[in-house]
Amino acid sequence: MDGDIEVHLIKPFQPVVPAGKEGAIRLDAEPKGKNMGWMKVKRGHMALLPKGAAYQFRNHGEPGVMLLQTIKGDLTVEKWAEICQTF
Amino acid sequence: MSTATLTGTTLLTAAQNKLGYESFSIGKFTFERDEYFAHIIYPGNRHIMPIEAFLRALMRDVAWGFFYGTVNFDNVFGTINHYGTVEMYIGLNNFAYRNSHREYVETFQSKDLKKFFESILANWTNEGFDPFAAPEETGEAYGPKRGDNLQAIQRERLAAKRFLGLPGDLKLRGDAEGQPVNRQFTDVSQEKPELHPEPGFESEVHAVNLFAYLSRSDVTWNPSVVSVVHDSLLCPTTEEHILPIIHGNDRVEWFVQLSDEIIWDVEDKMTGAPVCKVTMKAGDVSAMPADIRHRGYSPRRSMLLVWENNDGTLPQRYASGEFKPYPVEF
Repeated sequence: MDGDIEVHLIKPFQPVVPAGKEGAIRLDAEPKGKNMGWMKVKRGHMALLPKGAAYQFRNHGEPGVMLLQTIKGDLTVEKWAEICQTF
Repeated sequence: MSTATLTGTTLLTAAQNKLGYESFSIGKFTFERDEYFAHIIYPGNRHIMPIEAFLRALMRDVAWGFFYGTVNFDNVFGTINHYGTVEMYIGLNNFAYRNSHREYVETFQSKDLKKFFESILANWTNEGFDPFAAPEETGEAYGPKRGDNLQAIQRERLAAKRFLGLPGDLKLRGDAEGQPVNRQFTDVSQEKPELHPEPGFESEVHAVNLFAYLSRSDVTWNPSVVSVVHDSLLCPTTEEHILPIIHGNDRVEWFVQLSDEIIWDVEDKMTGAPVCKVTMKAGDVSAMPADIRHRGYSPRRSMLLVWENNDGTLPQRYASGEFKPYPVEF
């Protein structure tokens, strides 16, 4: 949504996420796999995170803001009740 | 008067009136138009709407396939999508009509009512009037019949199967495709993302400039899917002037204001009683509950991200009380 963000992708040699597991999974280390490449996205850009790929976001400059379309999973943090403006 | 039969429904097409417009009947509803108004005639009474407002609402109802939940054309007339069948009603979501038992409802097969509405749109939309366009970008809907505008009302529905711009999926827009940047989005960067795919991964290392795509939209208030994750659909849209319908939710719907500003009137879904007014500026997020209706006002062209949950079980689960109509408790 704002700022510059790099998205680096790796295709793991072995699946790193159990079949049927939903949501994002944090990996302890960079998986062994094939380097798929990377993208640099800016304000208003939209990038694909391919199924079965491991991804890493990198930001080198001012803080950036991203909107991530995903499924609820282990890493989900629900903040809406805290941040939503109420009367 | 000629008669055409639709599946399970009788469609009566009347002769042209003296202004050149046809009248249309389905079930016990009859639709007529004159120079300024649409007349909706039903057992016992008649409802009337300004023709421009009627056509703008009808265009969305047709293009969206009756959308999620209720499409109120105004505070009296509209449709409720039951995903296979559609209720068309007078006064069903209006407290005064309900209180005096003046509501009237008929149920139709979705495909029959869609075909019926398409026939009205085709006949009643004059040359030069585009019901999808902002008022400043189109001609007038008024007057006697003059030509048609089939190109405008038969636009292809834009919905990505997976992700905007992937091979075989929804195509990007550009000057070469005859899709120039809109007059109010000339400040939107057209710069493309940097892509550095390794050999063999050219189709998977994929990014697009969504804002550039939206800046070239020639329609307003028309959410179009650009990315899909299971039932999660991102449906950005460009808005200007007034949402031509009052949308009644059958599930929670999330809005992210991507640019400029929209002011929303939020009302009780069933009665129309005011609930609140929400002013959203760029970066603001709101959740529209499952028990409200809403109408937006966009003073200048803006970008809105509508996030829809396409799970077909949701309407029943909200209606039964299994889910509360809002996403969190405060």
